[in-house]
Formats: sequence, structure tokens, C-alpha cells
Amino acid sequence: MSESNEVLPLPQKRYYRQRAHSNPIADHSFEYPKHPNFMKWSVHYPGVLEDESCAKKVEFLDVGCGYGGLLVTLSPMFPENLILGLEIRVKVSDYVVDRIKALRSQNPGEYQNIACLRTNAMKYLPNYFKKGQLKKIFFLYPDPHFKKAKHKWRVINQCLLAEYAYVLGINGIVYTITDVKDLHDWMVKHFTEHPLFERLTSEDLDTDIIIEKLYASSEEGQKVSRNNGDKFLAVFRRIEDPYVND
Amino acid sequence: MVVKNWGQCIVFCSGHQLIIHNAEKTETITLPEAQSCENRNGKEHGNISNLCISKDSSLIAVSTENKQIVVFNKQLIVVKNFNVGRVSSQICFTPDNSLIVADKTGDVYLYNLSSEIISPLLLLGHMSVVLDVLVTDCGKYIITCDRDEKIRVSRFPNSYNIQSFCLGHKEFVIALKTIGNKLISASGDGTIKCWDYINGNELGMINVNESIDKQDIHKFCEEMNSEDIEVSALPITDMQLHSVDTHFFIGVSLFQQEKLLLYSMNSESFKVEFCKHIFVNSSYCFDLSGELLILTPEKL
Ligand SMILES: C[S@@+](CC[C@H](N)C(=O)[O-])C[C@H]1O[C@@H](n2cnc3c(N)ncnc32)[C@H](O)[C@@H]1O
Repeated sequence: MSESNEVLPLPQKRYYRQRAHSNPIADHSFEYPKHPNFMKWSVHYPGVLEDESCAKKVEFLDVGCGYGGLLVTLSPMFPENLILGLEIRVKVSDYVVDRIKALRSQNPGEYQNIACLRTNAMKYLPNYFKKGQLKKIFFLYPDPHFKKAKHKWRVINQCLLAEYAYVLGINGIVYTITDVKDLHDWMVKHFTEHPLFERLTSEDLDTDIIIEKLYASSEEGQKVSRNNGDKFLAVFRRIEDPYVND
Repeated sequence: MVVKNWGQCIVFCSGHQLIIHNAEKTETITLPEAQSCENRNGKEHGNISNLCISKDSSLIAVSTENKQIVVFNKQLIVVKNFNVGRVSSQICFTPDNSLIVADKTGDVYLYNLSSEIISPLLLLGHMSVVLDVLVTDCGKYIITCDRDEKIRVSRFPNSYNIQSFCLGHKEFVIALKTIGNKLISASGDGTIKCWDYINGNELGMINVNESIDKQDIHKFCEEMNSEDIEVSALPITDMQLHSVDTHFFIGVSLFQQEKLLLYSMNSESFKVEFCKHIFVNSSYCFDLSGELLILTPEKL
């Protein structure tokens, strides 16, 4: 507890570099709750949740949050919402945890609504979140896994969309952005074909203050900008199941 | 090994043969040749890995280790014989006699057997091998469990819509049974759990390891730990369910245990009573549906 009084410097990112593509299907030894009821959220949001009896829950999720740029941008924009980043690479998630700790210590009372966990988002979402709990999910510059044999590692695929639909509430929003045209087409195809999602039109997007932040808030987005790369955006809404059971 | 009650008969399999036994005679059926050659893993016949019977008892289906599926009718005539893309891990019938096939990669497909050309429809996918699958009697839900600890309840046939997850097991989930809106599951963590599968709430639990010699559990855990696999319970290998009035009778077999354990669970209070051990003195498989069938390598 003594450390919480000192002002922490921002962590050095280079200490945490790790190979860019982790295999999300291999068995890593992850710590994860056996049921969402067992998750101790107050550890991650101590400034907001006094203990586990607090009703407030995570509503925004950044899947594969990388170095956490989007979390840091969203934090002051949505002070009332709890925002979580998930990252599979241990050193990267450690970096984000330290970064948030430092920001909280440098800016008392701020950055209390963001946190980062190390986990495999392709495997354990239902262990953390209850049905319909989330309002927004972000997939910013996900790993493209170019080779066809590795397409099943893509964090967007037909089967996983069912899990994202499960944790999202009706009218919840999924944001995707990538610099890889092929991956963009792939994501659009799978979301459009999925009966529980519909794509938002550009008029729908005009009123959403998050959209402009998707291009360059995150570290990967900034890298693409530096290289003058293209950016492809697609946003989807979780809708009611159109299926009628007679 | 699989053994099932089928009306007046008992069905089981041995290698690539299907054996049907009733009071009068025992019939042995060899599977027909697989449709095309490329899929066969170089083997003439694959051993039968799974066997399932339709709810109306009119069809019986088997899957083999070399990706073949054969469906027989009541007269034991082959009505379908086709290959699937990947080795299947489990098969089951829907109430309207379509066939569900789960494969080793975790994908679950629906095959409409009444159509002329048999083609798979992808229903859902897990991230690890699906160990059991069933469609509820009402036909509205498909329930799947996997090598991780997951039990997924999806709508059927709109299986992209997940109704609930039943989470709480600490190891792989090996077997599922439903009765009304309740689900009974068996796991490698040595427990049986009872769930309200509509909302995923856990209602009751049986720790089968409590009825087992502590030394057997200890020995197994030591063995596994020496191979760097951390376990704390003797895993369940199969579970069968039969319900009478207000009670579920649950039969359980455990790894390396030469006995079958029988429990009863009250379907309202979920109070559990241990009924008895049945010593089998050999490895075995069993079926429980009014009668108890036990199949060992030597006898039935
Ligand atoms: C290209 S980076 C983009 C990071 C960040 N969204 C950004 O825009 O800067 C993709 C990130 O997703 C992470 N990732 C990949 N698969 C994952 C999974 N299954 N669960 C959680 N994170 C994953 C990778 O470790 C990597 O940090």
C-alpha cells in the first residue's frame, strides 16, 4: 500500500516488447474466473468500486487492446462507464496495467474507470461477462493472420461472433478498424452474414463521437498513420434475433 | 465402447462391427465400404467411435475413426452412408431425425438426412474438442460441452444465438443429459452438476470423489503430477441418467475404477443420496434407462 502515495513514472514500453503474434489457440496457463460471479472487479477499479457489492459493471471492452491507447483516450470521454482492455501478451498487458497505475498516480481521481486484464479473448469472455452486459466492443487493428491456414486464429470468425453477440446487450455496438483490406472484407462479411448484427450506415456514424478516435488513439493506429497506410472502418449493431420459433 | 438399449434389443459395437442382441438372437453387422477413398486414412474400415439412436427409435447412426457415418433403419438396412470432413468426436439425433456431428476441432454440424444430397450446415463452434452434444426434447436448444470447462446452451436451429453458458466445472465436461428444463453434467473434476440450463444457474452438485477411496485419488493425482499435469480429482468417464417420479437416478463411472456408482438426486430439493456401488471387476461401459446394462470386454 505504501507505493500508492508516490507519483509513479510512466513505464518504459521497450521493456515489454514481445513477439507480435501470439497463438490464441494454444493452451496457455491463464488465470480466469470459473464464473463471472467470482470475478473481483474492485481490485481493478478500486477508485470506483468499493467492494464486490457495487452494482456497476464493465460496459466497454477493447479486445486485443495492445498498449492501451484507446483506453486512455476513452477514459475522460466516458467517466461514468467502466472500460476494460483484454490483451493476450503478458508483457504488453503488464505494461498497460503499469501505465494505468502511473496515470492514476499522476492525475489523482482520474483514469479510475479503465483497467486491463491478460486473457485470451477468444476463449474466456463468458467467464468474465454475463449475458448482455456489454454496450460496446472494440476491435482495433486486430492481428491479420494472413495465411489461410491461420484464419481460424482471427479474433473475428463466424463461431466467435456468437460469443460477442452473447456478451453484448441489444443495440450494443461493435467497432472494427484495420489497415488490411482483406481483413476488413473478412470482418464485414462475417458480421453482415451473422443474423444478430447489422452494419451501421455512415449517417449513423456521424453522431458518434467515438468514431474519430478510432483512427489514431491506439498505438497501432498511430503506426499506420506514420506509414500513411489506409484505414478501413466498419461498425455494427447487435440486434434482436430475427428467428421466429413456431 | 458404447452400449445402448434399443427397444427390445441391446446395441453395442466392437471394432468396426455393430452387434445387436435380443432375446432370440445376436446379429453382427459389418459396416459398408466408405463412399470415397480419399478420406479413409488408408484404412479399409475404421473402428466405430460413436453410436446413437433416434428418439423415436427408428434410426441408429454410427461414426467411425476414419470419418465415415452410417445410418441404419429399424430393419438394419443402411439408409445413409457418407463421409464427413473431419474426424467426429460425438454424434446425436435431433427430435426430427436430422443428425448432429461434432468434430475434433470443436465445430458442430447439422446433416439433414432426408435430403438427397447430404451437406453439412455449420451450427456453432467451440475452441476445443466437443465431448458431448444433445438437442433437448422440446427441440428448441442444442447443448454442447468441451475439453475446457464450458457447457454452451444455444437455441436450435438458430444456434448462433447463445441462450446461456453453464459455468463452474473445473475440468473438461464429458457427458450431458437433460430432463425437462434441467441439465445434468459430468466432468473430469470428479463432480456431477445439475443446472437450470435456460439461465445457466447451478442447482445441485455431487462430488463423486467423496465416495471413492482417498488412496486411489491420491495415486492418480501423483501420477499426473509427475507428468506435470495438475489434477486434484479422479475424473468421471461416463454418466447415465434415468428419472423416476421426483428423483433422478444417476449412474457414474470413474477412471480406473472397477465399479459403477449409483446416486439419486431429488428433482425439487436437489438433495443427493448415494445408492450403491456395483463392482464390475473390469473396464466397462453402461447404459441406464429403466434397466441397467453393463458391458465389459468379456460379457454383458
Ligand atoms: C495489432 S495489435 C493492435 C493493438 C491495439 N488494438 C492497437 O490498435 O494498438 C493486436 C493485439 O491483439 C492482441 N491479441 C491477439 N489475439 C488476442 C486474443 N485472443 N485475446 C486477447 N488479445 C489478443 C495481440 O497480442 C496484440 O497486442
